[in-house]
Amino acid sequence: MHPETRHLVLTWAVLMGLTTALGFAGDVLHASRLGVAFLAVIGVVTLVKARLVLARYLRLELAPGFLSGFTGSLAVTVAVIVLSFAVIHQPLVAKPFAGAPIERPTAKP
Amino acid sequence: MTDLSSSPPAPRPRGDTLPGNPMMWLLIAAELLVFGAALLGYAGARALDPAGFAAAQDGLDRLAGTINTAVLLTSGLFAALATEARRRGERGWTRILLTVAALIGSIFLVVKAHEYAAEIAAGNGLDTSTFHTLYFLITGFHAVHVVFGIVILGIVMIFDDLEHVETGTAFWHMVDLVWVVVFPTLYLLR
Repeated sequence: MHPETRHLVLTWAVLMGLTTALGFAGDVLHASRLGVAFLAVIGVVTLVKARLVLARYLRLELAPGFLSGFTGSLAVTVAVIVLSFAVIHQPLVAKPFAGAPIERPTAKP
Repeated sequence: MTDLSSSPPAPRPRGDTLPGNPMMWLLIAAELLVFGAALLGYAGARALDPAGFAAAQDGLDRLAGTINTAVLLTSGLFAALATEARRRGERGWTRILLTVAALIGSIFLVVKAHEYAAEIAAGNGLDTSTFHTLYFLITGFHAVHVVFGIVILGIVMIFDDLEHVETGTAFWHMVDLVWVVVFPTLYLLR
């Protein structure tokens, strides 16, 4: 295998691992609300993935100035988005499942 | 598979030079600005109605979004391998790898079509809520880019100069990069 090919396959493997980690951090199988720490993890993992795509797939590792510029602008965008979610947090409101008996207030004697 | 009639080009030196056509990089920068503005707009709209956005977002198929992320990143790997093959002068391999990249990329569209079908079957459309308007606009705009990207990969399979291949795959990686940010913003953050 060519060194460049190995380099790219390794990058892909790391990206797959980070995508799986993002799935766990984002709790993709449940309609849960995420804590602020999980929001931060999602933001950081997203930025690491974006930087890997820029550096390895787009080969900006050979143009460090452009790599820093693109990464910096993405970092600002992702940081603002994650901060907005962290500041205005929506707590989970449990929904009754279909068919559940409706509890009515009982009249006091 | 190696084309012996043309010697492979010298490796690109380290420095602030971009691969492919500089105009493509202007387009990439412009696209990132457009999608960045759209996602910031989404965050702003969500700040005005966090409960409504949370309820609507719970209807999305987050697993399908995760699968599509893996699909695009895998397609991106084959596009990057195609560029490396072209740098080595292996034109036959370049075409095969570009074909694989385009085929895997089309899986993204199939999964996305399933997601849209499920949303529409659930009664959700462009005007159902602010969340759904932004969801369909941002992911639809991105899906259009995926279609263009597949067409561009097809074009550079035919016109396979190194610069053309670098330019075409740079566009494809931009599509990939945009999804890397769109997916967590629309599907995961809540």
